[in-house]
Amino acid sequence: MCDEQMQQALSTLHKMHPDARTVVVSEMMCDVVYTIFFGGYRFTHCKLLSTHTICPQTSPLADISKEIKHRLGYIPELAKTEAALRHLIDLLTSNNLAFHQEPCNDLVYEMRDSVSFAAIETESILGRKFRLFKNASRVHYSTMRRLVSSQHSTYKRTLATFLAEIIAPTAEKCADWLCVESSRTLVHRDKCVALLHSKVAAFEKATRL
Amino acid sequence: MGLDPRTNCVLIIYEETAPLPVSADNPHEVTTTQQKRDAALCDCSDSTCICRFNVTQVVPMLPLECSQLSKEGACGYCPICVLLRDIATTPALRSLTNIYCAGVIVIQRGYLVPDYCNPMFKCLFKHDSQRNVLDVEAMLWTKFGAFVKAHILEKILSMFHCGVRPLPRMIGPLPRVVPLLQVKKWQKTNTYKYSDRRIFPVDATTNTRQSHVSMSYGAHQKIFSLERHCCLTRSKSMVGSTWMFLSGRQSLDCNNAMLLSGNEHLPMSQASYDAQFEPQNVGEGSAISVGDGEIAVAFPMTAMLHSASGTALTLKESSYPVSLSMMHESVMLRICCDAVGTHKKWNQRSFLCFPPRVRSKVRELNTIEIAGTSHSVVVWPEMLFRINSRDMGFKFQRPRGGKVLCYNMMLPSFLCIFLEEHNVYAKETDALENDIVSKYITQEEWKTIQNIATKEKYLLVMMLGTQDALEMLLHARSGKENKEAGEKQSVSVTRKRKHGATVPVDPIDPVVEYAKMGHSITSAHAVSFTLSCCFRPIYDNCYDVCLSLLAVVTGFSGWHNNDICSNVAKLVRFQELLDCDADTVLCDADDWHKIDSQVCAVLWCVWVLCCECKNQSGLKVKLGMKKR
Repeated sequence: MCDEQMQQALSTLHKMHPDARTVVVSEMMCDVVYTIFFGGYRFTHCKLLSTHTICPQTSPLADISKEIKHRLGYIPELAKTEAALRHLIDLLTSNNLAFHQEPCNDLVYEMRDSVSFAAIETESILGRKFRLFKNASRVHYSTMRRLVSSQHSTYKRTLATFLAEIIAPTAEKCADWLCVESSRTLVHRDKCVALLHSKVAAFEKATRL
Repeated sequence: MGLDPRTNCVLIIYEETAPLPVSADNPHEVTTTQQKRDAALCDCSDSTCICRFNVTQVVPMLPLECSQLSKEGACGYCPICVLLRDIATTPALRSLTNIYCAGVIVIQRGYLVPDYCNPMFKCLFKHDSQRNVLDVEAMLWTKFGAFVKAHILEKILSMFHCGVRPLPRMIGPLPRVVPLLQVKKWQKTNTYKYSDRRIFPVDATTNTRQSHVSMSYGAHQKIFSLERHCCLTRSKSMVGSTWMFLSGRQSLDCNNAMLLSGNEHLPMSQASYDAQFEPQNVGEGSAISVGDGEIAVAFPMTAMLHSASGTALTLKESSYPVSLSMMHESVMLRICCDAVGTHKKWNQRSFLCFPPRVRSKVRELNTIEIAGTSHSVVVWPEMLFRINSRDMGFKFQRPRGGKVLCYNMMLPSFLCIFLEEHNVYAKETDALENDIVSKYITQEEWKTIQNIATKEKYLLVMMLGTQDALEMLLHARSGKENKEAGEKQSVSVTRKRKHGATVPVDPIDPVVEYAKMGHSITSAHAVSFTLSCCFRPIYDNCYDVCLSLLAVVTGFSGWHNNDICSNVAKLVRFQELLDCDADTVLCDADDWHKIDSQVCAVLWCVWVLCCECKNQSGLKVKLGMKKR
């Protein structure tokens, strides 16, 4: 991270009014979550199509409809005709410079799917909170144009609550992960020690002979 | 024969040239009553009205070309080469030999309006090609449009001294040693130093009210559309038919209504056809063909670039033909006669027509003076020309590479909270003026800025802080001059404000440069667009945080990863940003890293406790950790 830039950004935030600052920060988080889960060329509705560039004129209409639904969360009321759908997908893709013509990242796809389509029984607390926050961000992003201040404050509170609530589950999740990793390491170490002992014993036996 | 590795560009600049409507009795009084507004053919107080914009300059732009372009040819691996190779290898585009590009930008009183930045293309083919030109151009638009738009925006932003050049960005947590963005020396003074701009707006104050009305939007409607079309025409027509979905306030609501509705094609009337054959609309030596909803004028060579100055007597002087030696192919000018607002989108019509179809008032004024009547309206056509000469002083400049994560996304979202139609602060608070004065604007200098909209002052104060907003609004004047202006103000005459309030304003001064620069909210939009450069590092941090959190949630990684640990520390920092007051915000970049250790300590305790409970081998680990 370029410190000079970060300092400048923080300085800019510092000068801003607290209301404006919270709006900027929360909108950034919303935009990021939306981009990771719904936006960009990298994240199409179908993983197989993720390496293809969507062509508003030539792509199949079914793909376009799914993609619009994937990105917006709904099909707009007025986008019922083929022309309107094609034009809408053109707008959605031509304004998104983030992942234009980049290869698909399988890992991100897998992580997205495991969060979005987790089994309810096995879903962790953190995963559930993240999924709910993701859904809230999508709703906020989709309706942002028509929001009034009170609704925007609602999202700010949602974000603040999310950040406050995930610290403990995140630590717990990481602890689980570390336990698994350490147990794997221990098993591996025990095997190595046993192997070493057997080799030493064999060596001692050989030297005695 | 492959594609020419050099894509020549021109820049078509639209600027607001129409004057604000003023009453005949008092030239200083702005007509704002609804009655007068209705009487006028065009609601010109609306800054988005199409009649306010004209092509004022057509300037050559640095071409898009390979970075290694030499006599030996192109490199083949730079982004331009990859794109051109992709285009050349596409079966439908194999007959292409040359691509020409024109970028359209809109300058509103000195401000770039990035929403309307748009590229358009023209193509040349092999002689034996049977391809439909329009289809090919549409495909080219799809493949090349976003890239060229980014190129144009970069060039224009560099003119405006925004000064951030993004580098390619990796996905996932980045090592700290890799700079996310490379910064030119960003000088705050340059950001607001508008006198340094290379694009200067046309002084519209010389236009008269009468000539403006005669050239009004209504006249354009009458000639180029039937009566029922006029009913369909929106009052807020803007330059450009390809409206951006995510960029900018001005196109927010209209997008949903306009872009998604079926914009049916309506044939032209006979009068419209006839108008196109009048002498002033026909280029010398041109061939005219009338198609479905369009009139194509093929100029063999003489593309006249109007300099937007001069009168009818000096029309020839004010238009300068491009040197013949520079142009080897003919130029197709396409004039689209659809009524504004009924213009069909490119994917909805049988021919391709790109946005700019704005009338040139100067050209029309000339026409009126020539013909003696006001019967004609000229639609300034799209134009594109090829410049083959390499001796034009064009130097190679590398195109923008890589991706920008928060480009043009976050700031419009932020702004829409504060904008006119969404701004509850401005809409629902009656005593906003007093509120602002009492809360933020207690300094004496603020009183000299009486003619700037309250909500705009509010927005600027919110974004820039009190002092910076004040400096920006008064940047053109030194402190001494400000004092003098303040003294003058006490003896100044009164004039009506937009909201009907009467405030003392100096008729000659205050020379508030900011107020001259554009419509209030659009100006603020430009400021916030500039500020988006500052916010990118924060946005990137957010991105890292979310990706790291995603990795933790899904079990792909854990705290042992230093990047994730630091990112979660940033997350805590964001939490503080949301909660704390302005005084406690840390301005030191190191603070973002200092908190790492605190977060680690807390999480480490939690981890050890969990180990005790969940893993029997945790005791060993715990002991080991205690040693550490």
